[in-house]
Amino acid sequence: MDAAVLARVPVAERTDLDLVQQYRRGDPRAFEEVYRRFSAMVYNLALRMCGDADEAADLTQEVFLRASRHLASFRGASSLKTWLCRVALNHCRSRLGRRSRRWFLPFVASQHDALADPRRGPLEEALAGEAGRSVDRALTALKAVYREAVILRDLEGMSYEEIAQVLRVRVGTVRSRIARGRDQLRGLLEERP
Amino acid sequence: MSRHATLERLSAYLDDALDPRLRRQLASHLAICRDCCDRLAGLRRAVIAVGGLERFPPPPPPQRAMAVARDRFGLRLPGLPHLSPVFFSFALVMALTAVNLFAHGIEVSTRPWTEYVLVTAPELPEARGPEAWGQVSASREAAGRVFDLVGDVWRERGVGEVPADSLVEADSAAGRALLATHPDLAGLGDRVLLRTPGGVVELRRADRGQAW
Repeated sequence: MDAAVLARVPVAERTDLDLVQQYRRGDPRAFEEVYRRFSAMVYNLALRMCGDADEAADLTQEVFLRASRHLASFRGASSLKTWLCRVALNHCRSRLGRRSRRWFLPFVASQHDALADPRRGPLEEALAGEAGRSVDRALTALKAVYREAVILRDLEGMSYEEIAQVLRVRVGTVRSRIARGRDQLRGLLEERP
Repeated sequence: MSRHATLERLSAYLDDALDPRLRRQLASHLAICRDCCDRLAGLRRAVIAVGGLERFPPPPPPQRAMAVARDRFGLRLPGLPHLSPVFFSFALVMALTAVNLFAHGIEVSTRPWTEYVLVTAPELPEARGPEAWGQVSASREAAGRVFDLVGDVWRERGVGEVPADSLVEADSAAGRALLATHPDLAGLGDRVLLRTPGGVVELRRADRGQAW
């Protein structure tokens, strides 16, 4: 989009590529908008991957620090969303690989309590918290490749093609991993209702 | 479709990721196969469970990343494409070097010929005749006058004391004017003492051994 035309479009309404273009032109507000759009996705992905709120916050910081350094060279071969998601997943794998041979840690009950939504009542909070803990425990037990695929599809709502870009595998592989992950998760949830 | 549906196909059915023909076939099969219906229901529960997980708000924007984003533009010049800090630093150093060299060049070209020491009267013996200045090793005529070589100085015969500030550089405007009117002076040597309308001067050239 032409710079003059772009300048008249509110930042919040600009496309991802427009934001990258704006960032290249030297407007730091573009990065703030990128953070506003994708930070929740990155944070929640990191949270479900590493199971620790503080570590997820650190990972989010690392991902966006890296993004701030490389966003100007982003060429748009994939979408900004899949690019950030891939960076986040790679950071998670790297960190967890260093920390432990396990990819995932249990998303402990205290994490849910610490991150509780203050707008909900105590009963709602308890029900949501218990349900969430149960699903998180089941997710934790999934094999890593299945868990990634299920989270990206059912939590982040990505298409098969987007997930294939993030994981750098074929769409058929994505389809298979999602199906097996869901099936294993179903079994786990039925075992531990 | 008589056999049970595969897991992948059931999962893709939930995502509406089957082509229309396969979707119709599977829908027909599900209408008659309780096992597949049960498996589909189980998969659906898993999808709903994960989709219903709470999404937590992200932490505040990381200040370090924001600082990197801001710093990145601290060096940006309006109207120019983005310059990376490394390139900008390199360009700045090169520009400063160029300015320094340019200034140095100007200084050299305008610098007075400090290698010359002004010949002042007290440094010279009194003018009493050629023999008074030392041994005359040669004599020659130039510009209609007689010059005696004493040491490495060609002294016009009869020239006495040389006043202070009497140095005339051969390459200066005055020196060039003098040599233009009396070109044969150039054949004498590097240092020539002679009378001028303005008084006695010493004509010198900067680079000894080179032609004037």
